[in-house]
Amino acid sequence: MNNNVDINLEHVTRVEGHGNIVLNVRKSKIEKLQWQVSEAPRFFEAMLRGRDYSELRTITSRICGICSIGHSLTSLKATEDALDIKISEQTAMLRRLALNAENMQSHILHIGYLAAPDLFGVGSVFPLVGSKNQDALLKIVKLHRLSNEMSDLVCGRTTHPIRLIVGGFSAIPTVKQLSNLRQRLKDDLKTTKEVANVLNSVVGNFPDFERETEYIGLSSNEEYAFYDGVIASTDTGRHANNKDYKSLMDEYVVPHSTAKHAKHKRDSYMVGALARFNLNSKQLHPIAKEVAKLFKLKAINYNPFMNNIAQLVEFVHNIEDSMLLIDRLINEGVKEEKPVVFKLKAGRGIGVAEVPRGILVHDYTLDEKGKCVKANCVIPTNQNHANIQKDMEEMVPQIIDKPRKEIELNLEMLVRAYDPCISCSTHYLDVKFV
Amino acid sequence: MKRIGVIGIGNPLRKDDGIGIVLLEKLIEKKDELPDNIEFIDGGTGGMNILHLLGHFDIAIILDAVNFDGHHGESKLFTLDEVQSQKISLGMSTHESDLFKVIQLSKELKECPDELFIFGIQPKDISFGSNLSSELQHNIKPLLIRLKTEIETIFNKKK
Repeated sequence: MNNNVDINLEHVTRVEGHGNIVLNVRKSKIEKLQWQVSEAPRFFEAMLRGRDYSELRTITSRICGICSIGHSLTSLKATEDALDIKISEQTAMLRRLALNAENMQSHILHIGYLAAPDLFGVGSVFPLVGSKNQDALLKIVKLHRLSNEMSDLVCGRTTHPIRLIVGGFSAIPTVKQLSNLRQRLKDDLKTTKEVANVLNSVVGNFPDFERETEYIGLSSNEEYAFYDGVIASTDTGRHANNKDYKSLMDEYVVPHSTAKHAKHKRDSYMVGALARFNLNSKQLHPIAKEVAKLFKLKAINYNPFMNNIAQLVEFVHNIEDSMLLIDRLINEGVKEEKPVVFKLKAGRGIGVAEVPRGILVHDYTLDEKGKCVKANCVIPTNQNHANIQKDMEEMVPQIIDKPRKEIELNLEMLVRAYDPCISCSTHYLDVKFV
Repeated sequence: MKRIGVIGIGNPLRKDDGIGIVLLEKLIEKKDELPDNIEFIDGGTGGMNILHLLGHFDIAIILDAVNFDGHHGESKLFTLDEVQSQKISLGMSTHESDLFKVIQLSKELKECPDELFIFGIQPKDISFGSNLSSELQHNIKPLLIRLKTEIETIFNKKK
């Protein structure tokens, strides 16, 4: 083992927000190893208190620019649960389509622009332009564009959706628009397989690391769960009641991090694409299964780096699923439905859905006038922090004899594999005139 | 005819960080007073997801909170050639805070509009909260007047 190593990586690049990695080795002994998340405490829950039920979706869609559809849908599910609103079959299908669009958008962005540079051995996406891998990059760009335009069509915007409202949709895509989208999805399924082949040729560049852990996500008898299902664990199986989510997601604070951590039966658990794959891989659509096979990805896989590949597999699944949903929508006749009419009442509602980075919970209590009096949101990335820390503790002794730069890169790649969204909040530019 | 996009960026849950979105919404209310080939886009905190939106336009005007050490609520219209980013971020992230990287990639992919302007507003407070600071709130009207004038000037020069 290296006698002395000091790593202090501030602001891990190609992840969102401020996450630091600190490693101090003295006389071959690890003295300090921490995944520090210096996120400012979130006040979103406080912002929801006192707001009208109709505003909750709009506010929560601003929590995250990448998961704005997922936050919107989970928020709507919680509000509709509190108000006893039953949505139509068509609304449920369109919402599934919206969630597919977001998952595709987020996954291809992460795989292509953030994780792929590690596989191709470059520091960022920029050196790929004009390189021998430019063709793969342009294919990824094409898939990203398709995902954005799909979000735009279903939700009315590329990001921060406007058509998703309590009880239904404010506008519905036409049959012609849906048919065109289906054709593009079909064409780009081929493009996705080509990207998969390129990535498969370099997947060996991900570290060969495994650590047994628990995986938590939604599961359903009907489908590979995104929009609906019950909370399930690879350790303890399916749980009957999503309202009891706190018994599975035990959130706590640690001294070295301002973001919440979470655990269930073990010290930590993982959520996200790999968790969903490990729970539900048998329900993937056929071409997604082929892509998993190409990468030799089988449940249960304990290598966190394979979360990147599970994202690619899900991307393919989302395309196949969207094509089937569009077929059903068109066959059953797209109706110009108005949102469900309902009466206000006091109550508590819980919405649970799978969003790109994992399982998301919104829990609202409304008063009789529809004002929110209490809110709780369990965010996927916070559920992964403890698992990242435990992975680091297991991985560092295995790589400690490598050169310092390589240790750093391996740890950064580990964090990036989780695709964390630490603080998707501010956006301002900081400039100096020249 | 040139395609012109006005893109608001920022997070309305972080007080003045949301000024770009607030101005966009106000501008949409007055769109009848502006040329009709302008498209208005709420880019929010979509970060990299605005990449392909840029490609839809010949001219884009981005509305955003910008720290240029000005007075709170002061505005500046500039192009990227006129500034240097002070952000230390070296790579990109999914939600990237540095718009410059998104624009740079857009250029590399040859998707970037021929002309790109940023209408930047100096924020005072970007802590959590859904209201603008009083300094920015009081400046909304003059900011909107200036923004409309700038858009009309750009439009009249380029049409």
